Amino acid sequence: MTGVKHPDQSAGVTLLSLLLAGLLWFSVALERPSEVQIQAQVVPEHLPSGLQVVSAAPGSVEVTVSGPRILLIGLSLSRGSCGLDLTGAAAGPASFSTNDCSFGLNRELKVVRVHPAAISLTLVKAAPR
Amino acid sequence: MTFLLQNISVLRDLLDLLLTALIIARLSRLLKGVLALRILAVLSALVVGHLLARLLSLQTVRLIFDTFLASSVVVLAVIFQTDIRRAFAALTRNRPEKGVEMSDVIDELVFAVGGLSQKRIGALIVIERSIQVDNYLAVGTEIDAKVTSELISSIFLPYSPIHDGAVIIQHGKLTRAGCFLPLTQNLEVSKSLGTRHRAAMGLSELADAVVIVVSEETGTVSVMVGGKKTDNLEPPALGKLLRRLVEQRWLK
Repeated sequence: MTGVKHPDQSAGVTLLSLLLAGLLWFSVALERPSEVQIQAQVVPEHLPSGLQVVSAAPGSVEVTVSGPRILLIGLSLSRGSCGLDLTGAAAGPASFSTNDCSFGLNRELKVVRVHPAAISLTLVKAAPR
Repeated sequence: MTFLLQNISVLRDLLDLLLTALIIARLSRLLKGVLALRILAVLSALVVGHLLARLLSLQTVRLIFDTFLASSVVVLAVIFQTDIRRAFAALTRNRPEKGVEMSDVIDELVFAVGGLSQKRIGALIVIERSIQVDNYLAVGTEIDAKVTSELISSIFLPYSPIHDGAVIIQHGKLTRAGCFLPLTQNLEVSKSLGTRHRAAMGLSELADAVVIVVSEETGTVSVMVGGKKTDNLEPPALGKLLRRLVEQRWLK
């Protein structure tokens, strides 16, 4: 008989078949939806000119994000940020909803909830120089 | 039972993984050793590339990997159409029934081959099975006659104008003679193999036909099926092998 496979080749084919099967299964499993909680640094944005924040720094918020696991793994590795839009804010104490924050996430990811739901800031008119 | 219910998702994942491995391992067996290794390595690399691109949100790179992965099924099907066709033919082939009467065609063939072998007259006989061999034949003279040992012997006699080629048996009838067959492209085949044997192997690689070769130099009889050769067959062994390989339905 001709065309007989070498035993090493057969073992190699079996091993690579298992590797490919594992990788395929892994890539499918990583597409399953899941949720993850991340800490996102609050970054005030679009502060109206002539105003400044005088209250304590808002710190960070806890964001629960849902989406494919593989994207959530990538998200966990990077540090998230919560862009708090202050457009139209006036001088004085004000509360801003964290649900309106821009998190700069992948389009396939969805913010499920943010804790705390609101951040209080006190804005004052900046002294002219 | 409680354990099973609690771990149903784990068991399902395990079953999923095992079945995937089984399917890929079975499919890769259709391919030749070195080629299967290369293809599996390339496919694995493509999947790893896809995972990395997805993890790092590299959209364009992901698009490229996904395109390659999606088209790989079609590309592989085109490249290995012969192997796939042969594998399907093997799948659909039923096991031979026990106690089937020895067909006249096989009797005549064995008798003719035995005679040619004794006289050291080279011969090449193709028995078509489920895959048509017409597309692989060149030249040839149409005959359409009953298979008899006398006819086969006379075709291969050296002074016959159609002795230098293959005789084709389709549905139990001798349909053509003097046909040229495609030579094998397999580099692993021994260099000592002559053109007649190379032609026999070439056709058996492309179709599921059974090819009988009588060596002109040694008078030995070989049978080739699916690119594999069985050598030194005596008439009783040849008859037994042919009855195992060729079912009655292919001779009708």
